[in-house]
Amino acid sequence: MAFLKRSPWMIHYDGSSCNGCDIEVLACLTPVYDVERFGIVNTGNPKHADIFLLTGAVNEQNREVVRNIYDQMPEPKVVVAVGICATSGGIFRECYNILGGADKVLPVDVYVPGCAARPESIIDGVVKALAVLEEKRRALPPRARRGRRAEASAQGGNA
Amino acid sequence: MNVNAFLAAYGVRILSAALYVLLAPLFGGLLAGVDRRITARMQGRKGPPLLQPFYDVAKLFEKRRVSVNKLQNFFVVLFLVFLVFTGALFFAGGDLLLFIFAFTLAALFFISAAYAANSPYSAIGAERELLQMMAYEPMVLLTAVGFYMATGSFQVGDILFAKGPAVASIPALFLGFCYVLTFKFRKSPFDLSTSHHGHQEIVKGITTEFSGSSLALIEIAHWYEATFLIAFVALFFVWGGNPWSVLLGLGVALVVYFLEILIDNTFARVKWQLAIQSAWIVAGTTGFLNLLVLTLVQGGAGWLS
Amino acid sequence: MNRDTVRTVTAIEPLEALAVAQHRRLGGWRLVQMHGTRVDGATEVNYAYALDGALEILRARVPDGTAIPSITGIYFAAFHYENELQDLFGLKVTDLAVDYKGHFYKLKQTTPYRPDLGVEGIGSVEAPRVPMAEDAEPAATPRDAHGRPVPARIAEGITGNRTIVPFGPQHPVLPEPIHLDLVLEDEKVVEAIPSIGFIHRGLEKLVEKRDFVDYVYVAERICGICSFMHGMGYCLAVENTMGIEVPKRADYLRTVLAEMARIHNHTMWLGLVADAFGFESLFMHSWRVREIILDVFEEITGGRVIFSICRIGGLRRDVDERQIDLLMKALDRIEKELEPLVSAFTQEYSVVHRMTGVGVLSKAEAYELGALGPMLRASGWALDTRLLGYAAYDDLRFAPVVETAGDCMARTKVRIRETAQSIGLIRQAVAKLPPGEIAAPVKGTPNGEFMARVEQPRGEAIYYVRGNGTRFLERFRVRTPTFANVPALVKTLQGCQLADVPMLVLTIDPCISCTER
Ligand code: SF4
Repeated sequence: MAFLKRSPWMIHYDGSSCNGCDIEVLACLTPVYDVERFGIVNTGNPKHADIFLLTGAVNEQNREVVRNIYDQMPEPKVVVAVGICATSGGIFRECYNILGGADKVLPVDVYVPGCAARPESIIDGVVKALAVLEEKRRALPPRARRGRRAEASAQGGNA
Repeated sequence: MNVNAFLAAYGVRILSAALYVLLAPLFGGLLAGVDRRITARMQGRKGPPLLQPFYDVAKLFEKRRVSVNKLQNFFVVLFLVFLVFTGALFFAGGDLLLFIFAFTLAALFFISAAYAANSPYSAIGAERELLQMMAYEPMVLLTAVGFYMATGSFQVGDILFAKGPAVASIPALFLGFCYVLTFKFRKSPFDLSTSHHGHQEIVKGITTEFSGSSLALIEIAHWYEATFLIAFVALFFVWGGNPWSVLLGLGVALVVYFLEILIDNTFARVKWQLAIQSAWIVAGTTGFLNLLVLTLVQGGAGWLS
Repeated sequence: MNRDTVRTVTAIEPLEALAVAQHRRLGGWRLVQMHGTRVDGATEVNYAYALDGALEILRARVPDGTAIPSITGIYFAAFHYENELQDLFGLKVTDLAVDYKGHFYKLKQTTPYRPDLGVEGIGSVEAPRVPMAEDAEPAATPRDAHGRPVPARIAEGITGNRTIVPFGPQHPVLPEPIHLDLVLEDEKVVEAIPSIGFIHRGLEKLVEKRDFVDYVYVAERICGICSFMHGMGYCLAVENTMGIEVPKRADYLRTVLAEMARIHNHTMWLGLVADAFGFESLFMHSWRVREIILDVFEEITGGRVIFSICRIGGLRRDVDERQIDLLMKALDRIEKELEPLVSAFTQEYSVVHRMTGVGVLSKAEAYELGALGPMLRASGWALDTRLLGYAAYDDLRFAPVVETAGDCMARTKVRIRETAQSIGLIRQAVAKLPPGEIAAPVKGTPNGEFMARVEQPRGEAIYYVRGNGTRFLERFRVRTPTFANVPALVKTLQGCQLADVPMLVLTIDPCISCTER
């Protein structure tokens, strides 16, 4: 059964954004948009998260941080790039300290356009991400091998 | 003792313990679901589907586990096993004192699991969990003593058949117990070690380092825990083995749970100093006064026996 | 139109800076900001001081290869600016109180304003990053949970019951990344070491590649929360450089929009701080109230957080009767819905318990450390840049909101009262709203310089532009209030409880993307 789709937990990180998209991500949680209706919870803890919402064009210093968060998330996981900054670097593309988008550091699964991305489109992006998440779950090796493999990789990644 | 006699003597007990083991997750999960919906309503939101907690746990089993070490998972399993045992003890009509110690032991396994993870957040979470235990344990023990004073027995099986509801003679203890329930249900203002909402200075505190199936087991353990805590509250109202009194108790327990949700939504998280102080003051006043009055007025233990 | 008129630019010798600083300090001047500009093969270092309405810029021309003396001994708050000068201009500053040694920001391209010195991509080569440590790192560098090196001085102190807890950059109570290494003794914070640079994009330099008219859109994206005021501040600076007279109606509408942004910001802040002390339903309800004002923004400008309505010379869109009507209704609703929230914040037992007496900043400290905005006003200073009378503030009646306790509760009260004040200001402005044009034509190109000051929700922000007669500005500089409030934050964090950290961080109302640009 695909329960992942019914209970996606997300984590949000501001990878050098202007803040606009970040408050819109937070606004998704609040009464007007209330994503908990879909079982979406903002965990704030990478180890509990399934969906990584990344905003901003990612600068040099955030490169490691973003990777670190991604590595701490258990499989299966998806990355949603929120806002034009995260999609392509947007208005900051030519700044000297900008890498130019989330996909410069992470494999991005869904791009949400907009500057700032509207809460509706963010929710839409998350829903799209759920389909990808489900595909990734199917592609995972069977349970028996799962635990051991993950533990081995965790030892490398988390030490 | 032959099988028939054994069954006659213990059949009901075994049956009710078995039912507990089977049904508690269902009840606890539903309770959590209702909780989340009511909470959402109080916050001006619609909230998740009723079965959301079950989806969450099922989802967690689908995830890979990223655990820091094996010891951690071992402790989590022990935590669950002991919680189940604690509840089974209660539903089998066992000894309240044994129940409390088994409960404490389970909590200690949980704390050990968090310590084993060796991350600053979960270590601080574990530390706070210990502080919380210090805060609520005196009250819990006093409650057990209160039950004994009121009914003349520590056995849940006997308390069920007492002559009157325990709450009649230990009302203050009942209130005090409800106060510390906030710790056990991990509700604001006493959700210091971990919070249902992920916005805390120590991230998810004691549960920070658990993921996938370990986290799912912890969730299930909490359902078991919630179930027997509700039953414990109900116990205050049961007498003479009367099924209606059981229903009454259950009703009151659910009302208490609702109030916990309300409190959760109307208080900020307090700091541990205040948490401990207030819990001890409550335990001190309600507990000792109640026991004192009981001793003086009713001339000792077993008034309802 | 602008009472902020007394402004002088004086040239000084680099070494004079110290004596001047001493003198200004004794005179009670505030160090407003410092910045560098590249001019004909030398770096100009500008020191801006303010006293009431007067603004003074002292300009030292520093030839390449020369060091300048640090003024952190006199104005501690200068350490930010001086470290930035080291990072961006490759300028050596001697005797810096807190020296990040050129690693204040971790840059993709070092010293971007001195491309001749800079090395491309040094950041990816794992540059040694030693915040606040005097000496080089020891061989086995202790690292925190994020794998970042822990300063040697701190690491030595980690004995017995001392632990380091990383706070951020990713942290659930922080909408934006800032990193603090908290040295804990049990639950007590002994020391807090900030490291920033997670949002440093380098958008000030983008001004060299964007037409000055189009740059408004970049300026707005300095921060998505005060986006309107950033756009406006930039426009004010350019308009003043070019001598453009903004139509009265535009001035009034700008004021209305700015105050709406303040309401948006403060209601949002109330939610975030409630979240920081674990009061989730208060967070939800505050943000519900915030949506009311966002709806009006959307109605007027088409955007919820980024508006793109400000342009040089005025506004791009007018506001009609119906929109004004909506705005007035929204204000009534906000007033009504805020009431129960306000009583929760100021009377509810656990909230009062958490906030009263926590993070106290005395009147003297607040000024010394260069705190701004509600942070400063909560410590008893009646300083508010709006009194300078930019936009339409000169025609409106208001007095700065002041509290004296200097603790978290006082800062909360200041913001609550300011929300009410903003509602009042909007009503005044709408009542007086003059008819007419909403934009003046833009002719020519900026030639000259101007430093505009704007009171943002978080405090005074500075916009400095310098044009050279082309369509591309030579230098744009913004100094935002959070930048100035960080020293005060570090002070309040010392000796606090771990549980208070999120709340203390939030009471400065941090806006990291403003700060780092
Ligand atoms: S896409 Fe626009 S609103 Fe979003 S972070 Fe980037 S600049 Fe800000």
